Order: sequence, then C-alpha cells, then structure tokens
Amino acid sequence: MIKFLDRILNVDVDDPEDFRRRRLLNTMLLGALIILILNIVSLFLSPATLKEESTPLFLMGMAIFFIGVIGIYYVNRRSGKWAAFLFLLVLTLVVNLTDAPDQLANGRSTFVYTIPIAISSLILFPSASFIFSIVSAICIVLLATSSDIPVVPNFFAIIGFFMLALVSWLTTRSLDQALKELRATNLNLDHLVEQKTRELAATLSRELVVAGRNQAILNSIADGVIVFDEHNIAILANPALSRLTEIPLENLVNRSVVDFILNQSLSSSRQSLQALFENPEETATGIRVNWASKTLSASIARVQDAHDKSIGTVAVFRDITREVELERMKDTFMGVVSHELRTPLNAILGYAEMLKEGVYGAINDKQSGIAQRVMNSTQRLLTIVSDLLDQAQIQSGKLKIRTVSCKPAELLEALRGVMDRIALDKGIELKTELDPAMPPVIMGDPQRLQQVMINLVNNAIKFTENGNVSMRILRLDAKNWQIRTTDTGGGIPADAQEYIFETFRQVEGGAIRQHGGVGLGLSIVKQLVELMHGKIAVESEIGKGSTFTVTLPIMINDDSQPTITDPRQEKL
Amino acid sequence: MNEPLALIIEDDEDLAEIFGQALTAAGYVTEIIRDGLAAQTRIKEITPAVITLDMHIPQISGDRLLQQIRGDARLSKTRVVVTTADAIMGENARGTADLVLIKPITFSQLRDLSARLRPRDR
Repeated sequence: MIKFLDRILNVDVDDPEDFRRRRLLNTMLLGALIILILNIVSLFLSPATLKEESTPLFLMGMAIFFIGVIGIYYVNRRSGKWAAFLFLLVLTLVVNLTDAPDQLANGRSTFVYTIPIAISSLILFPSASFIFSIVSAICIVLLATSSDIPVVPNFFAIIGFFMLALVSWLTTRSLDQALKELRATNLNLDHLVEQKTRELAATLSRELVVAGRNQAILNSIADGVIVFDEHNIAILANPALSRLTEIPLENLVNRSVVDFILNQSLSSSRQSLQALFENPEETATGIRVNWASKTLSASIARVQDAHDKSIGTVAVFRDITREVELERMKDTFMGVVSHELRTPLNAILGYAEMLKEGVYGAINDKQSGIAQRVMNSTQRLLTIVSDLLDQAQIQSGKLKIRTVSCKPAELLEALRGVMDRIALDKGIELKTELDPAMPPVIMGDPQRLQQVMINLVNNAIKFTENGNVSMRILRLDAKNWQIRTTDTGGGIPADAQEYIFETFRQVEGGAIRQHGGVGLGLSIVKQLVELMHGKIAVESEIGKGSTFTVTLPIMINDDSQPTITDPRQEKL
Repeated sequence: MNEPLALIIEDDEDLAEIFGQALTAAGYVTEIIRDGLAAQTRIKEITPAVITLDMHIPQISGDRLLQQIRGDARLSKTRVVVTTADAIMGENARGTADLVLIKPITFSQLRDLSARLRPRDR
C-alpha cells in the first residue's frame, strides 16, 4: 500500500528542490481527492442536503475540481511550475465557489482564501504567495461588488492576506535556505567519504605491494629465515630454510620452536640452540649447529614492535659447511707446516750452534761469527713461523691456557736466560725487578706467561737503539699483578698506539723493513693476555720510550688439580 | 763409568745428532733410537736417567710410549723430556712429562736443561 502510494506520489526528476515541490503537490492533490470523495460520500449519505438549492452548483464545483486534480496530476509529471500554478488557480476558483459571495467577500468564509496563499509559497516559489494574495484580494473585491447583497470588501482581510504572504515568503525562503545548506553539507560528507575510501584503498594496495616485495626478498635470500611469534609458533619461513633443513616449507610454519629444535636432523648443539631461542640477548650469536650433513651458523634476535615490546623471534641460519671444511684443512696444513718447517730449521740452528761451540773442533773467530749469523737468521725465521702458528692456533680457538703453579722469580730468571744474550748483542742493558709484595707462587700458564714476557722484551729491544729495557713484575692490588716493560726507544706515535695490537700491523713508515718481523708479536701478546683474563695497555712518548703494562688477576694455588680451560668452549 | 744414561727417541737424523751432542755435553752417555717399536723394546731393557721423546715417531706414537714409561715402576726415577714441534701434543703431554720442549730446541738449551736433570743434581 505504502509502496503503491509512493509510486503514485513520486516524480522522476533530479533537482532535489523541484522534486520536493512536485511531490508535495502530488500529496496535496491526493489529499484533495480524498476530501472530495469524502464530501461526495457524505453528501449522498444525508438526503436532506441533496435537496438543497446549491447542491447542483456544489456538485459541478466538485466535478471541476476532480477533473482539475487529475489534469494537474498529469501536468505535474511534465512541469512542476505549471502544475502548481494550475492547482492554485483551481484551488482559488474552488474557494470562490465554497460559499455565498457575501460570506466570502466579508463574512465567515473569507479565511479560506488563506489556503492558496499559504500553499503557493510551498509548491511554487517563495514569492508566489504575493501573487496569490493579490489574486485573492481581487476575488474579494469582485465578489463584493458583484454580490446580490452589496457588501464592502473586507480590507482588513486583504491586509491580512498580504501579511500572510509575507510570513509564507519568509518561512519558505528560510526553509529553502536550510534545505540548501543541508544538501551542501550532505554533498560535502559524500565527498569526504569518497575521498577516505579512495585513500584506504590506496593504502591497502600499497601495503599489499610492500608485503609482496618483502616476501620476494625473503624468498630470494640464500640464508634460511624463520620467524616465531610471541607464542613460539612459526609464522614465517623462507624456501632457503626449507632447502637447508630438508623440511618442506609447509612443515616449518605453524609448528612450535620445540618441534624445530627437536628435529632429528639436528645432531649437535641442541641445548645451545634452545638457550639461544630462549634468551637471544644474553647468548652469543652465530653458534654452530650440525644439521644432517651440513654445518649451520645460527643467529637469533628478538622482534620488537615500536614500543620495544617483544612480538617474537627471528632466526637466521647460514650454511657454513664449506667454511668449516676449509678450517679443518687449514688446521691440518698448519700441523704439517708446524712439524715440517720447524724440524729442518731446528737442525740448522743446532748445527750452527754446535759449530760455534766447537763441538766438532775449534774454529776461528770469523767462522764463529758466521755461525752466529746463521743462528740469528734461523732464529728470526723460527720466530716468524712460531708467531704465524700461534696466531692460527689462537684464531681457531685451539690454544689452551693452563692453570698450574708457577714462580714469578723463575719466570724472570728464564726470561734472562733467553734475552740476556740478545740484549748484550745489541748493547742494551736488560734489567729485571720483582716486587717483594708478589706472592712467591701464583697460578698461571708459565709457558704462555713466558711467551708474553719474551715477546714484550724482544719487542722493546728491537725498537731501542741505546739505553735500557726493564721488566718489572709487581703486585698492583689484592687481586691483580702486573708485568711492566719499559724501554728507552723511539716511542710510539699516539695514533699508532691504537693499532699496534692489531694483527700484521706495525707502526707506519717502513718499520717492517727496519725492524723485521711480520707484525704479529704484540697481537699475539694481547690475545694471550686476554685468554688469561688480563689486559694490556701502552703508554708512550716520542723520543722518550714506551711502557707496556700487562695486568693479570692473581690466582693463588688452592691445591686443586691443574685444570686446562679451552677458551673456545668457554665462549660457547 | 759413572755417567748416567740418556735415551734419545727421535726420528729426525739431524735432530737426533744435535740432541745426542747436547746430552753428551751435559755429561750423559747417549743412545739414539729412531722408531717407536724399537724404543718400546729398548725401554724394557735399560733404565735411563733421562729420555728425550719425540711425539711424532714411526710405528708407535710418542704419546703411547710416554704412557708406557709412566706405567713402568722400574722407570719411576727416569726423567722424560718431551721434544715436539706440535704445540698441541706438547700441551697434552705437560701433565705427564717432566719437561716439555717445543721445537725449535737449541743445542745449548737442551744441554743446560738436561745438565740440571742429572741424578746428582736432584
């Protein structure tokens, strides 16, 4: 029913203002039609009224009105303005017929003229009320003059009409204005919604592009990557990890960390890997794990959001099988070099020394000098070989530091046994001093301590042209002791002090050619000292000499068995 | 002759000669053996005051010989000087041997050290 009414009342136009007016007109037409029908019905229900004189005229008015309504309805479909104008004219005409002329001109029915005036603003245009107030005024005057009983036109009513027209005009105008503003607001809102929708779509597609690009990057890197969420469930893994672990990609994601760690192909370091997953911040990264026949290096980091909140972990696995193999080959090679190179050098050194010592019979001074030169050169060569081997050992983590009891006094004595001759040959005085506060027996690795001391003194002698080199062993405090090497050499420039402990570095400016060596001595000293949990520092002034200070923790013999610590194991 | 016996187990001919000369100079009577199997037999027959033992020798490793010497009560007073170029093996032998010398070992070094190991110096 409502749909039917709606269809009847609807007008097919785009302009909202026109639409509103024409629909309102249709509604009025419908209302008028209903009133008309009700009137006719009530007329026929009371026979007394039917006999009245005015009835034929009344019926004629109604018929005109009915035809008018239908006609206007059709006109309204084509032109709202014309339809409204016609409707108002018909309405005015009907109004003129609703009562006796005298009553209309100046009596009980004068007020009915207000109806077309009020409606005209609504269905035609705001100022139309003035036109119909004029029309109504003319009607009243005409009716008054043409009436059988002459009456004076109701001038007050005419003024009233104009007042009503004014009010109608003002009201509809503001109504129109309000509607216009409302429509503008709506239009604005529509634009805004449309714009936001477009932006949202753009953002979404941009995010899709970024996500796709990230996925492409992840898919193409050679390292295996797996990401676990805060519940330790794998949410992402790349094809490289699938290749490395030989697990299908679909079996990697949506599984827990525990599933991953307990995989049967993982043949070593399961606990280290687990510790790394549980505590990536406090565990050393780059641990080695054996996965089937491969060796992988694992690095794990926590994934944090913008507020530093942990939202999971990311693990990266790199295939280092080849590197590990090369390392093993290098170790084997080093072992061979160590033996095959040192043995003949040792023989040269031994024979030269025996010649010099006269084991094979007396030799003259010149021959003795030559033998000494052979010894010196061989010794230099041996030192270089030893340094290279030591460096290789330290780097591969194979160098072990022992903890046994040793006597500082003996360390100094042994140092003199090796270095006195070298100092003497260069004409440099070597002084050694032992602090009485030092414990007579400490725990340490005598061979490595000796190596540190010899290297430092050897270095000091090498860079000192005249004057002296001194080595002091002293107690720093309750927990630490020091080996202090002071020389009167040329000193080390401040900028060079930063890198003299680096591998294969000597002070710039032809120092290698001048002093020999491959620049490993101090680097090895530093690494040995660090393996012994100590520190090394240098103080130097150009032209005045240098002081190298090694600070080590004092360990007193607690009667325990000598222990050997593997620095690499400690690191893991 | 009152001089103590020094057994030199060393496969390298030159080093064996040098070690022999050094120990002679230190006052020992020396005997040189250049392979592990011969050494294994010989140490059952003699009681040297000092044995210099190379770790890399043919047939039986120096390591095993060292264990054997240490397991023999008769050789309890024998001082064993390990002479090796392999620092790792040297490290491993430190607990068992009396002295570990990493090659290069000079004539005078071995002469002086072994002189200190002579029985009368104990």
